[in-house]
Amino acid sequence: MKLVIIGVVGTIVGCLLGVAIVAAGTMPEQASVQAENTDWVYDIMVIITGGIFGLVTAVLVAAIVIYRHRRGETRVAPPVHGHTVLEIWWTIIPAIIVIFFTAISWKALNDNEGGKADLAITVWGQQFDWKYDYPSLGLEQQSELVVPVGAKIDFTIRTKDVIHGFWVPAWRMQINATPGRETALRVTPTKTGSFKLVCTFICGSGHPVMGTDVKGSIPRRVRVVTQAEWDAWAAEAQAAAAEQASSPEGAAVSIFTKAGCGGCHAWTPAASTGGVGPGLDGLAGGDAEAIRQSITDPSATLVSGFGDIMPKDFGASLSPGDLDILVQSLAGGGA
Amino acid sequence: MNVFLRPNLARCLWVAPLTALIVMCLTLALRHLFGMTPIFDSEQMITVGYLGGVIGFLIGIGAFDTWFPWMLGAAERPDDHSAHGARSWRDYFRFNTDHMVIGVQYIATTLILFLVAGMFAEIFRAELAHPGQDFITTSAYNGLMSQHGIIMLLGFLIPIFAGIGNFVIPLMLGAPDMAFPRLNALSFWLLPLAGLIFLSAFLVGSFESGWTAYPPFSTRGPMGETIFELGVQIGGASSIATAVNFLVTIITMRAPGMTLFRMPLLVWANLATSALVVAATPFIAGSQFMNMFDRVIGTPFFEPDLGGNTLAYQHVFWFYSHPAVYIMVLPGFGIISEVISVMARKPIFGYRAIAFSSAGIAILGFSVWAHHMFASGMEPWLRVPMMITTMLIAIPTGIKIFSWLGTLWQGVLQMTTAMLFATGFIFTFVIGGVTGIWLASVPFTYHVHDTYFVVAHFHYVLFGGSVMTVFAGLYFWYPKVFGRHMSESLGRLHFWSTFIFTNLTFFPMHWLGLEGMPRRVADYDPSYANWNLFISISAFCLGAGMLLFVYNLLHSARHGKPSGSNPFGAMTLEWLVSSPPPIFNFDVPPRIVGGPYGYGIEGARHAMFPEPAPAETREQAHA
Amino acid sequence: MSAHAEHDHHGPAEYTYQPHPFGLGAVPLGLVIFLASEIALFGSFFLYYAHSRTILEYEWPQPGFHIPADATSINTAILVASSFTCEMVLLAIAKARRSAAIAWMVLTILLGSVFLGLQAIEYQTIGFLPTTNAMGATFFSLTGLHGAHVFLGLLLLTFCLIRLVRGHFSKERMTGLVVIGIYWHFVDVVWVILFTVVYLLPTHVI
Repeated sequence: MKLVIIGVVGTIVGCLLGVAIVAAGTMPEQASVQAENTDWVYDIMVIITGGIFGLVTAVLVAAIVIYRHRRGETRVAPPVHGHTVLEIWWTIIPAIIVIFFTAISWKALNDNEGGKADLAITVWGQQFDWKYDYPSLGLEQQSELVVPVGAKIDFTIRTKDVIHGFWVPAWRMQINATPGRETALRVTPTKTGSFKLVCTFICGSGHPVMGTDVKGSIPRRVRVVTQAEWDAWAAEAQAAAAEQASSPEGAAVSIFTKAGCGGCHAWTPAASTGGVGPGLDGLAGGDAEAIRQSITDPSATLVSGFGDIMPKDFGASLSPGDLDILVQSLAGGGA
Repeated sequence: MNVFLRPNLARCLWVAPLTALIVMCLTLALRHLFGMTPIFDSEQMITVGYLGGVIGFLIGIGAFDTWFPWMLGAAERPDDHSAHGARSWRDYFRFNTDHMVIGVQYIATTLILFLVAGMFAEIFRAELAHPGQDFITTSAYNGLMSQHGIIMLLGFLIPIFAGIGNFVIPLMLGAPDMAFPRLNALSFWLLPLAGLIFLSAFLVGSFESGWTAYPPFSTRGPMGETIFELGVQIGGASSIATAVNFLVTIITMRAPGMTLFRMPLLVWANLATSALVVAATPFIAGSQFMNMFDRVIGTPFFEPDLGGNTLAYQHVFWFYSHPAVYIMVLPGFGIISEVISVMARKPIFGYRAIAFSSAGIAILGFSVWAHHMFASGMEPWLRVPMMITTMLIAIPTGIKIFSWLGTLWQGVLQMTTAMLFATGFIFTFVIGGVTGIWLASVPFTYHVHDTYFVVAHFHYVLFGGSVMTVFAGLYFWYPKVFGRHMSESLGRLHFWSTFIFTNLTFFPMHWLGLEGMPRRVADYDPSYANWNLFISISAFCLGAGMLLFVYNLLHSARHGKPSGSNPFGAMTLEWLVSSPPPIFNFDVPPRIVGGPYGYGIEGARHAMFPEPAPAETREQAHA
Repeated sequence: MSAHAEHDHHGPAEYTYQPHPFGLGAVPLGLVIFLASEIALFGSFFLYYAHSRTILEYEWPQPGFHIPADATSINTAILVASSFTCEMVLLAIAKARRSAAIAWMVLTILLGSVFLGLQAIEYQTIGFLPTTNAMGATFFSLTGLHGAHVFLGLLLLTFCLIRLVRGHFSKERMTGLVVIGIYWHFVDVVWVILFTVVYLLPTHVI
């Protein structure tokens, strides 16, 4: 009897604790349909498992308080070996609970991924930056992720080198970029604004700058805008791309941007502000061969104050022609 | 015989480098023979050099002194048992075939590795206390973090249970030793080698890819990655050899009358664990072989351009590494069952349910691996089946928890330090279990995968869970090893500091993960600064508490309160012999006449000796 | 135990253990358990192979390459035959015919060596390397892992041969032979599976 009372009280207190956790708002801002579905599952799980936690803790603490051996006590414990009915119950009830969790999770999963997509975007991870392709706009290797609110967006995640993890906490969605294959993510943003974008998978010594807003890195954000704003942004971006393709200076900037250099280096012509590696504006008028070596073999000479963290494969990934253009442009102070 | 010729550590000093050198020269000769250029390949040299060194070390320590003559056809001689048992402290530093000596060797080695890996954690927690790069670089952080992970798992958690099992299980079974004593010693000596191999990676640039070593980051990383792969192979081999030994011992070496359902639950837990180790560990060996071939030979297992398949690595890896989680916690469950039943002076509640749930966890453990890969972009159809099995595995775990509560209820609880750790374990483990159920849910994992939430979850399971059981076990069996108690007052202090700071350290990590802090980062968003500072301070306090434990452990061996043979009034066989037990455990084989947990039952006995008992009996000790 | 009387050292007490369900002696049981883990080691490479072929729909063999199933089937027959000759060793010992046992053992070792030699020739003529592509990596690591097991088996058989020549085995004392026989059969069975999966499944079935 004592056990039943303690158990019931413990379960209720535990559930209330769960409610309190949910009410306290432990999740970040909710900005997508997927976030709503996920949080619904989360809330239910927190409250029910809170009850289980409360039950176990209450019985545990009560047992210690009530049945602790006291000095001089000669009580003998009842030789109970088990209780079949009780054991069956504590197998069945958890089974029902976890099957219920599976069901609601499955439902949320289906709701997250259902329906036809309105927009497709390809996200490219690389050491240590993100790039975005907008196939419907004919835009490639953009440095900014801008999406319209309310659209069902299919993200295709790809990588140029190692595994990265694409995560937008406000959307509650993440998936790894896996070499050699495309991974997919469906998001339906419900809120406009600027949201944090995080790399979750360790991808090298620059991993932190690819994820959170650490000092010296450019903040990684996804910008959710209204459809009208998005259309305007798209037109602007297309115009900028066209202009860049036609000007000689643009060629260098375009190579610089596509290769992801701006993720770590500040360079005025490309309007990049990355602070992980040394700034490149001071290179104007410098020795072209030294610049070339610093790109193809970055470990050879290091600027003091900066570690040896630059990827070593730019010599292979940049075509010789592109490399020439880039080196000339860096050494020539712009064009 | 000269000290450098007898089988001992001194002989290793010259045999190991010599063997390494011979193997390296052979490799150079072979490369020359096949016309490979350049003749010198540093990755290959370091691989064969390490392997040669390991073999040379084993030759030096005397692991093959019996086997080599056998192979070459020397006449068999009966064993004179000269390599068996410890008569002085020196016997702990040689190739010793006594299971109790090996048990102590294991525990000492793993505790040292535990302190080393814990120190790594303190160093990078200091870096993380404040946002920005403070005193170690990102690479150094990644290296320390990876070392912390792999040494804690492969150098501490898995082998310390092998150590405790080694000491206790032959005693519990009523057997004189393990089934293969020489193999047992061999598997122990591989362990310090694995630890040293991991640590030596610091010399050439530590591995940075975390303990999971996902390619292609690991196949393209610095040379430390190759050393990591070697260390995993050596540690894995040690683990498999021990598991084979446990299985054969438990199956074939039970004293007369010891039927399966009279075995103590720790034996059941070890049986299930060993089966898991045997069936699962080769998969991590396989995954690291592939990584190593990619690095050393240049195979394109994980080069997508040449048809490589990086996702297959994750499948193979987790096919081991999920069962590994149960390898790290099932023996702990066994320890808890022992401690709780003895300390509650009450039979274990639902003996068969606990025994079968161990087996159930071991079997189900093989069907849940891909829940680590929900967000890795694996085959989408695999998600829901894995979610279902992962959810289901909570049921046998729940059965154990409820059975322990059933044992505690109405017991006469002796709140010793071991019991404090056992009950504290139940509290923290339930938190880890609950978040584990959440993580089984695919949509939720899509949010928190590879974040601090996951870090919090597995530290609750492995630190709040497994490490607590290790402490419970060490406090519980310490008197059996040394014949003396550890200090109870220091023990209590150690428990409370561990319990409080475990929660203070790891609980806030849940919030950080939910908010958006990814794991394995050397630097983070300044908005998380306060919680990180709090976590770091708690982690330092947690570490300080461990110093108390170390002091207690060392001090009590000489100065602890003498315990007699059966201080807790336990019924299982290890308590029916003297403390420390005699060499070969039993002068007379015991007969098992009843279940192991007949506490509080009039006249119940687990075992008896046909002739007068060699040590004081349970009744005398309890009086 | 007799050692007890002969030596000063204190040996274990004399035991009759609880009978166990498998009835195998400790050494054969240990070997069987160890072989289970060997299956898992091969399994990890098979898992990689299966995952590539089913999920990635990786072509096997890759276009432009050939895996010679016909030539290797002769080699398979040789290895299977060596399993039988290995069993003959045990039979001969059981009938106390030592010279016959030695002859069978020598034949077993010869067959095993021929198998390895033919594999080596195949490696040289197959037309791709472990570094060529993922197919090469998988092919060479699976057959190479197996080859290493055959090599180890040959070493063990040679040790047995030495002991056989010296007359260490008898009907009562042949655990060493039985155990190595089990291992040799295992290597054989693995090869049959490997041959089916790596050589036959690609060219003849799919």
